[in-house]
Amino acid sequence: MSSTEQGTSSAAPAEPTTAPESAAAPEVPESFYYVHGKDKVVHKVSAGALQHSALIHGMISNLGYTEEQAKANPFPFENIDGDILQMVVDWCNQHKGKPTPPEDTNLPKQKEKLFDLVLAVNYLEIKELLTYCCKQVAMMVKGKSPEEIREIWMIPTDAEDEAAEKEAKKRAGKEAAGETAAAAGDAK
Amino acid sequence: MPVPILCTPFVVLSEIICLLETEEIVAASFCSKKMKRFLKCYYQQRKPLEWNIYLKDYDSCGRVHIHKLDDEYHDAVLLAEHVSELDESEAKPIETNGYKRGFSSGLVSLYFEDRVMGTKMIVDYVTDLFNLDVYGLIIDTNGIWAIDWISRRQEKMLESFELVKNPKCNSSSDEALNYVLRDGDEWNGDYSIQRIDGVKAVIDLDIRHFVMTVLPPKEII
Repeated sequence: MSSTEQGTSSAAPAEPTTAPESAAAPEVPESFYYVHGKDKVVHKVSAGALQHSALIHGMISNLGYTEEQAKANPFPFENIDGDILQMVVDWCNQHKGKPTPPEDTNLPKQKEKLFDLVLAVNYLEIKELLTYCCKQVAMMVKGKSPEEIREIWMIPTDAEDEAAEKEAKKRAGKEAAGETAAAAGDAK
Repeated sequence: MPVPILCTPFVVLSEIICLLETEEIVAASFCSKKMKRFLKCYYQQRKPLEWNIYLKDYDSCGRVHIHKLDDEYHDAVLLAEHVSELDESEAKPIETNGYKRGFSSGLVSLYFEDRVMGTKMIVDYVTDLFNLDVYGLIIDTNGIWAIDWISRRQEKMLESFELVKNPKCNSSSDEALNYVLRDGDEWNGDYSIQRIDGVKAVIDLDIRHFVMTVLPPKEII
């Protein structure tokens, strides 16, 4: 894995993007873990911030990673875009050790990234952030007509669904015919 | 920016649906057959038992409302009106088999040549979508047809009934009340009526408006 350990908020891994600790910080030094997305940019995140993600928290608990091991082998999330992972990491850092208020002003605002964000948050199992993202998606159709909802949520029309179904059947038929021909060839 | 919700995992889609208002769910169900099928399956698995469906048929308009037990208000989710009520200057209606579909103030309205048939259709649509029976009926004297129709279409009896005064019509109001109270016994000037399951209600006829709400038996309270 070509860990670059640079870029965005984690340009220098030694200076993580975590929120500053309060004056009454525990004596035990906080442990940090490393994650990277599709762009291979490594983000340094505190264990406290990662508590929000049930997936990462489970990985840490089950694998028993030490900080050194974690540094050498960042958690790879190849299915998540770098900028999306950055948003998620920022949110986790901002909400380290505290519950999300009902109206959270620190949440990602980019509507154009909402779909990718929803998928990433669902994958990383961050319940509170997922609820917020789903709320945003639900709010998009407030007071909208069925035609507007169809456009906003990209719901195919009945005709489009029928055409897609026909196409899928045709493809499945071709594949089945190909397999039969291959099997006949093998038999010879 | 569009979000292709049908491409999201089931758990995400379920969470989004859970956050929608009832009228938004009904509006979304008109997007496509596939969407309606999905919503129907969703509510078959998670029957919203805390929701009560009401049919309101008065002032020449049929409405289906949903009352959530934790909410004070009945929210209208679907309307049926006569096609003459359609104001085509606002937005061009969508023409489908047997009716026209319009949308205003966040509500889907269907316009029919035969409004009673249309009202029956919207009740069938909503009860089928949410997998629920009609809980209550609020009608004026022109909506008397709905009593027998609902009794025939579902096994569960109506839990709430309200007859509202129709300001345009006086002549048939006695006739309508007589129909509603046809099996009742007169008692001190009031009527005592009893459902098949034994639940009784006493109705004061000094006014041309009564409300009857059936409460659960004492042992359940």
